[in-house]
Amino acid sequence: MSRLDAQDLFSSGPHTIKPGAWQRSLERRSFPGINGELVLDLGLRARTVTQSGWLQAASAEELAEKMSAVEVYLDGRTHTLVDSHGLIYQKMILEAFEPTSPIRRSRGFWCEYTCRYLQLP
Amino acid sequence: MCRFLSRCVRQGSAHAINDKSAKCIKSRDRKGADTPAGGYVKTWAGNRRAQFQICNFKLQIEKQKKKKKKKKKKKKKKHTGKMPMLRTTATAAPEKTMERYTHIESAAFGETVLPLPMSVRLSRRAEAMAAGGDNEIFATAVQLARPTITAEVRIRGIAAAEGLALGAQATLVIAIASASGGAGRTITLDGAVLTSLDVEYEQRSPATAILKFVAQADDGATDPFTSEENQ
Repeated sequence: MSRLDAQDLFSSGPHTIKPGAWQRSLERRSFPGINGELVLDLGLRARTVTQSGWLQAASAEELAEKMSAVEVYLDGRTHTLVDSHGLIYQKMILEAFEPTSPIRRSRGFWCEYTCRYLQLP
Repeated sequence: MCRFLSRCVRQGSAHAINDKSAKCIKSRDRKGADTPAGGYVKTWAGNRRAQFQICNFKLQIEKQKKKKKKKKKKKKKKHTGKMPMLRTTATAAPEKTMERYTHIESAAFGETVLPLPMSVRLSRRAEAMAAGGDNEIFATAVQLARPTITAEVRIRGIAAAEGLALGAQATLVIAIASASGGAGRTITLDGAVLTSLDVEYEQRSPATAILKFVAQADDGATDPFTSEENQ
Protein backbone atom coordinates (compact mmCIF):
# COMPACT_ATOMS: atom_id res chain seq x y z
CA MET A 1 0.00 0.00 0.00
CA SER A 2 1.17 3.46 -0.76
CA ARG A 3 2.10 5.92 1.96
CA LEU A 4 2.38 9.66 2.08
CA ASP A 5 5.06 10.77 4.51
CA ALA A 6 4.89 7.26 5.98
CA GLN A 7 1.22 7.82 6.79
CA ASP A 8 -1.22 5.08 5.86
CA LEU A 9 -3.91 7.25 4.32
CA PHE A 10 -5.07 5.22 1.36
CA SER A 11 -5.00 1.59 2.46
CA SER A 12 -8.78 1.39 2.90
CA GLY A 13 -9.32 0.98 -0.83
CA PRO A 14 -7.54 0.17 -4.06
CA HIS A 15 -5.77 2.97 -5.87
CA THR A 16 -3.38 3.60 -8.70
CA ILE A 17 -0.65 6.19 -9.13
CA LYS A 18 0.11 7.51 -12.56
CA PRO A 19 3.17 9.71 -12.91
CA GLY A 20 3.17 12.24 -15.71
CA ALA A 21 6.10 13.20 -17.92
CA TRP A 22 8.94 15.37 -16.81
CA GLN A 23 9.02 18.55 -18.81
CA ARG A 24 11.90 20.65 -19.93
CA SER A 25 11.27 24.33 -20.38
CA LEU A 26 12.71 25.68 -23.58
CA GLU A 27 12.77 29.16 -25.04
CA ARG A 28 12.70 29.11 -28.83
CA ARG A 29 13.79 32.06 -30.94
CA SER A 30 13.79 32.35 -34.69
CA PHE A 31 15.04 35.06 -37.02
CA PRO A 32 13.81 36.05 -40.45
CA GLY A 33 15.95 34.87 -43.32
CA ILE A 34 17.97 32.47 -41.19
CA ASN A 35 17.46 28.75 -41.24
CA GLY A 36 17.18 27.03 -37.88
CA GLU A 37 16.18 28.14 -34.39
CA LEU A 38 17.83 29.42 -31.28
CA VAL A 39 16.76 27.26 -28.35
CA LEU A 40 17.41 28.40 -24.82
CA ASP A 41 17.27 25.64 -22.21
CA LEU A 42 15.54 27.00 -19.13
CA GLY A 43 15.79 23.80 -17.15
CA LEU A 44 13.65 20.90 -15.88
CA ARG A 45 10.16 21.71 -14.66
CA ALA A 46 7.74 19.92 -12.37
CA ARG A 47 5.59 17.02 -13.44
CA THR A 48 2.09 16.03 -12.44
CA VAL A 49 1.41 12.76 -10.63
CA THR A 50 -2.18 11.59 -10.41
CA GLN A 51 -3.48 9.16 -7.83
CA SER A 52 -7.01 7.78 -8.11
CA GLY A 53 -8.85 5.13 -6.16
CA TRP A 54 -11.49 4.37 -3.59
CA LEU A 55 -11.74 5.29 0.06
CA GLN A 56 -13.84 2.85 2.05
CA ALA A 57 -15.11 2.89 5.60
CA ALA A 58 -17.68 1.25 7.79
CA SER A 59 -19.59 4.47 8.40
CA ALA A 60 -20.03 7.84 6.75
CA GLU A 61 -18.30 9.56 9.67
CA GLU A 62 -15.29 7.31 9.39
CA LEU A 63 -15.11 7.98 5.69
CA ALA A 64 -15.24 11.73 6.29
CA GLU A 65 -12.37 11.39 8.76
CA LYS A 66 -10.29 9.58 6.16
CA MET A 67 -10.94 12.33 3.64
CA SER A 68 -10.01 15.00 6.20
CA ALA A 69 -6.79 13.16 6.95
CA VAL A 70 -5.78 13.49 3.29
CA GLU A 71 -6.80 17.14 3.11
CA VAL A 72 -4.32 17.92 5.90
CA TYR A 73 -1.60 17.46 3.30
CA LEU A 74 -2.90 20.32 1.19
CA ASP A 75 -0.34 22.51 2.93
CA GLY A 76 1.85 23.53 0.02
CA ARG A 77 4.85 21.70 1.40
CA THR A 78 6.77 18.91 -0.21
CA HIS A 79 6.08 15.35 0.90
CA THR A 80 7.33 11.91 0.02
CA LEU A 81 4.98 9.42 -1.60
CA VAL A 82 5.79 5.70 -1.76
CA ASP A 83 3.56 3.69 -4.08
CA SER A 84 2.46 0.05 -3.88
CA HIS A 85 5.46 -1.06 -5.93
CA GLY A 86 7.79 0.60 -3.48
CA LEU A 87 8.75 3.41 -5.87
CA ILE A 88 9.56 6.63 -4.09
CA TYR A 89 8.30 9.98 -5.31
CA GLN A 90 10.05 12.81 -3.55
CA LYS A 91 9.31 16.54 -3.42
CA MET A 92 5.59 16.00 -3.93
CA ILE A 93 3.20 18.85 -3.36
CA LEU A 94 -0.45 17.85 -3.00
CA GLU A 95 -2.25 20.28 -5.27
CA ALA A 96 -5.77 18.91 -5.12
CA PHE A 97 -7.77 16.19 -3.41
CA GLU A 98 -11.11 15.68 -5.10
CA PRO A 99 -13.82 13.12 -4.30
CA THR A 100 -15.03 12.24 -7.78
CA SER A 101 -18.21 10.47 -6.72
CA PRO A 102 -20.81 11.01 -4.05
CA ILE A 103 -20.50 8.95 -0.92
CA ARG A 104 -22.07 5.65 -1.83
CA ARG A 105 -23.49 2.99 0.39
CA SER A 106 -23.38 -0.69 -0.46
CA ARG A 107 -20.89 -2.83 1.38
CA GLY A 108 -20.10 -0.09 3.84
CA PHE A 109 -19.50 3.47 2.69
CA TRP A 110 -17.17 4.41 -0.10
CA CYS A 111 -16.30 7.07 -2.62
CA GLU A 112 -13.94 7.54 -5.50
CA TYR A 113 -11.23 10.19 -5.29
CA THR A 114 -8.41 11.74 -7.24
CA CYS A 115 -5.29 13.31 -5.79
CA ARG A 116 -3.17 15.55 -7.99
CA TYR A 117 0.44 16.06 -6.98
CA LEU A 118 3.12 18.28 -8.40
CA GLN A 119 6.54 16.71 -8.23
CA LEU A 120 9.49 19.04 -8.25
CA PRO A 121 12.66 17.96 -10.01
CA MET B 1 -3.15 -59.79 -20.04
CA CYS B 2 -6.11 -61.02 -21.98
CA ARG B 3 -9.14 -58.81 -21.90
CA PHE B 4 -11.41 -61.67 -22.88
CA LEU B 5 -9.89 -64.18 -20.55
CA SER B 6 -12.27 -63.75 -17.66
CA ARG B 7 -15.13 -63.97 -20.10
CA CYS B 8 -13.60 -67.12 -21.59
CA VAL B 9 -13.46 -68.74 -18.21
CA ARG B 10 -16.96 -67.85 -17.27
CA GLN B 11 -18.61 -68.62 -20.56
CA GLY B 12 -16.35 -71.40 -21.63
CA SER B 13 -15.84 -69.94 -25.11
CA ALA B 14 -12.57 -70.39 -26.86
CA HIS B 15 -10.39 -67.67 -28.36
CA ALA B 16 -7.23 -67.63 -30.32
CA ILE B 17 -4.06 -66.29 -28.83
CA ASN B 18 -1.62 -64.32 -30.85
CA ASP B 19 1.76 -65.53 -29.66
CA LYS B 20 3.64 -62.33 -30.50
CA SER B 21 1.47 -59.88 -28.64
CA ALA B 22 0.31 -62.45 -26.07
CA LYS B 23 -3.18 -61.04 -26.33
CA CYS B 24 -6.33 -62.96 -26.78
CA ILE B 25 -8.19 -62.23 -29.96
CA LYS B 26 -11.76 -63.20 -30.62
CA SER B 27 -11.87 -66.12 -32.91
CA ARG B 28 -14.18 -64.54 -35.44
CA ASP B 29 -12.75 -64.81 -38.94
CA ARG B 30 -9.50 -66.17 -37.65
CA LYS B 31 -9.61 -69.49 -39.32
CA GLY B 32 -6.11 -70.59 -40.22
CA ALA B 33 -4.51 -67.98 -38.04
CA ASP B 34 -0.98 -68.34 -36.67
CA THR B 35 -0.69 -70.51 -33.63
CA PRO B 36 1.79 -69.97 -30.83
CA ALA B 37 5.04 -71.80 -31.19
CA GLY B 38 5.11 -74.95 -29.16
CA GLY B 39 1.47 -74.62 -28.20
CA TYR B 40 -0.93 -77.51 -28.46
CA VAL B 41 -3.94 -76.52 -30.49
CA LYS B 42 -7.27 -78.20 -30.74
CA THR B 43 -9.67 -77.21 -33.45
CA TRP B 44 -13.36 -77.89 -33.77
CA ALA B 45 -14.74 -78.23 -37.21
CA GLY B 46 -18.38 -77.67 -37.94
CA ASN B 47 -18.52 -74.33 -36.11
CA ARG B 48 -18.89 -71.28 -38.35
CA ARG B 49 -16.15 -69.54 -36.47
CA ALA B 50 -12.73 -71.02 -36.16
CA GLN B 51 -12.00 -71.90 -32.57
CA PHE B 52 -8.67 -72.52 -30.99
CA GLN B 53 -7.83 -73.64 -27.57
CA ILE B 54 -4.35 -73.58 -26.22
CA CYS B 55 -3.07 -75.77 -23.49
CA ASN B 56 -1.42 -72.79 -21.86
CA PHE B 57 -4.87 -71.45 -21.12
CA LYS B 58 -5.29 -73.58 -18.03
CA LEU B 59 -2.04 -72.38 -16.58
CA GLN B 60 -2.92 -68.78 -17.28
CA ILE B 61 -6.34 -69.19 -15.73
CA GLU B 62 -4.84 -70.71 -12.60
CA LYS B 63 -2.40 -67.83 -12.31
CA GLN B 64 -5.20 -65.35 -12.67
CA LYS B 65 -7.25 -67.07 -10.02
CA LYS B 66 -4.31 -66.90 -7.62
CA LYS B 67 -3.88 -63.21 -8.33
CA LYS B 68 -7.55 -62.56 -7.71
CA LYS B 69 -7.37 -64.38 -4.40
CA LYS B 70 -4.42 -62.24 -3.36
CA LYS B 71 -6.26 -59.08 -4.33
CA LYS B 72 -9.32 -60.13 -2.36
CA LYS B 73 -7.17 -60.75 0.69
CA LYS B 74 -5.62 -57.30 0.36
CA LYS B 75 -9.02 -55.68 -0.03
CA LYS B 76 -10.32 -57.45 3.02
CA LYS B 77 -7.42 -56.11 5.04
CA LYS B 78 -8.15 -52.57 3.87
CA HIS B 79 -11.81 -52.86 4.76
CA THR B 80 -11.10 -54.12 8.22
CA GLY B 81 -8.96 -51.03 8.80
CA LYS B 82 -11.43 -48.49 7.51
CA MET B 83 -14.80 -49.70 8.51
CA PRO B 84 -14.54 -49.21 12.28
CA MET B 85 -13.36 -45.62 11.68
CA LEU B 86 -16.33 -44.95 9.46
CA ARG B 87 -18.66 -46.38 12.01
CA THR B 88 -17.31 -44.23 14.78
CA THR B 89 -17.33 -40.98 12.78
CA ALA B 90 -20.67 -41.50 11.09
CA THR B 91 -23.51 -39.45 12.51
CA ALA B 92 -27.15 -39.73 11.75
CA ALA B 93 -28.21 -37.10 9.20
CA PRO B 94 -30.85 -34.75 10.56
CA GLU B 95 -34.21 -35.15 8.99
CA LYS B 96 -35.06 -32.18 6.85
CA THR B 97 -38.47 -31.30 5.60
CA MET B 98 -38.32 -29.19 2.48
CA GLU B 99 -41.41 -27.74 0.98
CA ARG B 100 -41.78 -27.74 -2.76
CA TYR B 101 -43.84 -24.90 -4.08
CA THR B 102 -45.41 -26.10 -7.25
CA HIS B 103 -48.64 -24.20 -7.69
CA ILE B 104 -49.22 -20.47 -8.08
CA GLU B 105 -52.63 -20.01 -6.55
CA SER B 106 -53.12 -16.35 -7.33
CA ALA B 107 -51.38 -13.17 -8.38
CA ALA B 108 -52.67 -9.66 -7.87
CA PHE B 109 -51.32 -6.22 -8.68
CA GLY B 110 -53.07 -3.89 -6.31
CA GLU B 111 -56.76 -4.50 -6.82
CA THR B 112 -56.24 -6.06 -10.24
CA VAL B 113 -56.28 -9.81 -10.21
CA LEU B 114 -53.81 -11.30 -12.66
CA PRO B 115 -55.69 -14.37 -13.83
CA LEU B 116 -54.17 -17.70 -14.79
CA PRO B 117 -50.62 -17.10 -13.60
CA MET B 118 -48.07 -19.34 -15.26
CA SER B 119 -44.81 -18.30 -13.69
CA VAL B 120 -43.35 -15.68 -11.39
CA ARG B 121 -39.71 -14.69 -11.31
CA LEU B 122 -38.35 -12.44 -8.58
CA SER B 123 -34.87 -11.04 -9.02
CA ARG B 124 -32.69 -9.06 -6.70
CA ARG B 125 -29.73 -7.68 -8.57
CA ALA B 126 -26.91 -5.22 -8.07
CA GLU B 127 -24.21 -4.38 -10.55
CA ALA B 128 -20.81 -5.27 -9.17
CA MET B 129 -17.92 -2.82 -9.39
CA ALA B 130 -14.56 -4.40 -8.80
CA ALA B 131 -11.30 -2.53 -8.55
CA GLY B 132 -7.70 -3.24 -7.78
CA GLY B 133 -4.71 -1.08 -7.19
CA ASP B 134 -1.15 -0.96 -8.38
CA ASN B 135 0.77 -4.17 -7.94
CA GLU B 136 -2.43 -6.17 -7.53
CA ILE B 137 -3.36 -8.78 -10.10
CA PHE B 138 -6.87 -9.41 -8.82
CA ALA B 139 -9.58 -7.10 -7.62
CA THR B 140 -9.15 -6.22 -3.98
CA ALA B 141 -12.39 -4.34 -3.54
CA VAL B 142 -15.87 -5.14 -4.75
CA GLN B 143 -18.68 -2.68 -4.29
CA LEU B 144 -22.22 -2.89 -5.49
CA ALA B 145 -24.35 -0.37 -7.26
CA ARG B 146 -27.79 0.28 -5.90
CA PRO B 147 -29.73 -3.00 -5.96
CA THR B 148 -33.01 -3.34 -7.78
CA ILE B 149 -35.73 -5.84 -7.06
CA THR B 150 -37.66 -6.88 -10.12
CA ALA B 151 -40.49 -9.30 -10.78
CA GLU B 152 -41.62 -10.94 -13.97
CA VAL B 153 -45.11 -12.43 -14.03
CA ARG B 154 -46.42 -14.50 -16.92
CA ILE B 155 -50.17 -14.90 -17.11
CA ARG B 156 -52.66 -16.29 -19.55
CA GLY B 157 -55.30 -13.67 -18.78
CA ILE B 158 -54.21 -11.15 -21.35
CA ALA B 159 -57.35 -9.03 -21.06
CA ALA B 160 -56.54 -8.13 -17.47
CA ALA B 161 -52.94 -7.39 -18.41
CA GLU B 162 -53.93 -5.10 -21.24
CA GLY B 163 -56.03 -3.07 -18.87
CA LEU B 164 -52.94 -2.06 -16.87
CA ALA B 165 -51.03 1.12 -17.55
CA LEU B 166 -47.27 1.37 -17.64
CA GLY B 167 -45.94 3.24 -14.66
CA ALA B 168 -48.77 2.11 -12.42
CA GLN B 169 -47.61 1.48 -8.86
CA ALA B 170 -49.22 -0.96 -6.47
CA THR B 171 -48.42 -3.91 -4.26
CA LEU B 172 -47.81 -7.18 -6.06
CA VAL B 173 -49.04 -10.16 -4.07
CA ILE B 174 -48.46 -13.75 -5.12
CA ALA B 175 -49.83 -16.74 -3.28
CA ILE B 176 -48.07 -20.05 -3.79
CA ALA B 177 -49.21 -23.44 -2.57
CA SER B 178 -46.91 -26.25 -1.53
CA ALA B 179 -46.95 -29.65 -3.16
CA SER B 180 -47.47 -31.43 0.14
CA GLY B 181 -50.69 -29.56 0.77
CA GLY B 182 -49.03 -27.41 3.44
CA ALA B 183 -49.81 -23.85 4.31
CA GLY B 184 -48.12 -22.33 1.29
CA ARG B 185 -46.35 -19.03 0.95
CA THR B 186 -47.23 -15.42 0.25
CA ILE B 187 -44.82 -13.15 -1.59
CA THR B 188 -45.32 -9.42 -1.45
CA LEU B 189 -43.54 -6.75 -3.44
CA ASP B 190 -44.42 -3.32 -2.11
CA GLY B 191 -44.30 -0.35 -4.42
CA ALA B 192 -44.07 -2.44 -7.57
CA VAL B 193 -44.00 -0.24 -10.67
CA LEU B 194 -45.16 -1.78 -13.91
CA THR B 195 -42.35 -1.11 -16.38
CA SER B 196 -43.07 -3.51 -19.20
CA LEU B 197 -46.04 -5.33 -20.67
CA ASP B 198 -45.63 -7.85 -23.48
CA VAL B 199 -48.41 -9.92 -24.98
CA GLU B 200 -47.30 -12.94 -26.93
CA TYR B 201 -49.59 -14.77 -29.33
CA GLU B 202 -48.43 -18.14 -30.54
CA GLN B 203 -49.77 -20.47 -33.18
CA ARG B 204 -52.07 -23.07 -31.63
CA SER B 205 -51.29 -22.15 -28.08
CA PRO B 206 -52.87 -19.72 -25.65
CA ALA B 207 -51.62 -16.15 -25.59
CA THR B 208 -49.32 -15.07 -22.79
CA ALA B 209 -48.89 -11.71 -21.14
CA ILE B 210 -45.50 -10.94 -19.60
CA LEU B 211 -45.53 -8.23 -16.95
CA LYS B 212 -42.33 -6.78 -15.54
CA PHE B 213 -42.17 -4.81 -12.34
CA VAL B 214 -39.47 -2.88 -10.53
CA ALA B 215 -39.96 -2.30 -6.83
CA GLN B 216 -39.66 1.18 -5.41
CA ALA B 217 -38.92 1.60 -1.72
CA ASP B 218 -40.65 4.59 -0.21
CA ASP B 219 -38.03 5.41 2.39
CA GLY B 220 -35.03 3.91 0.63
CA ALA B 221 -34.26 1.69 3.57
CA THR B 222 -37.13 -0.78 3.85
CA ASP B 223 -36.84 -3.85 1.68
CA PRO B 224 -39.88 -3.91 -0.60
CA PHE B 225 -39.74 -7.68 -0.88
CA THR B 226 -41.27 -9.87 1.79
CA SER B 227 -42.13 -13.53 1.74
CA GLU B 228 -43.69 -15.49 4.54
CA GLU B 229 -45.09 -18.90 5.22
CA ASN B 230 -48.84 -18.97 5.59
CA GLN B 231 -50.19 -20.13 8.92
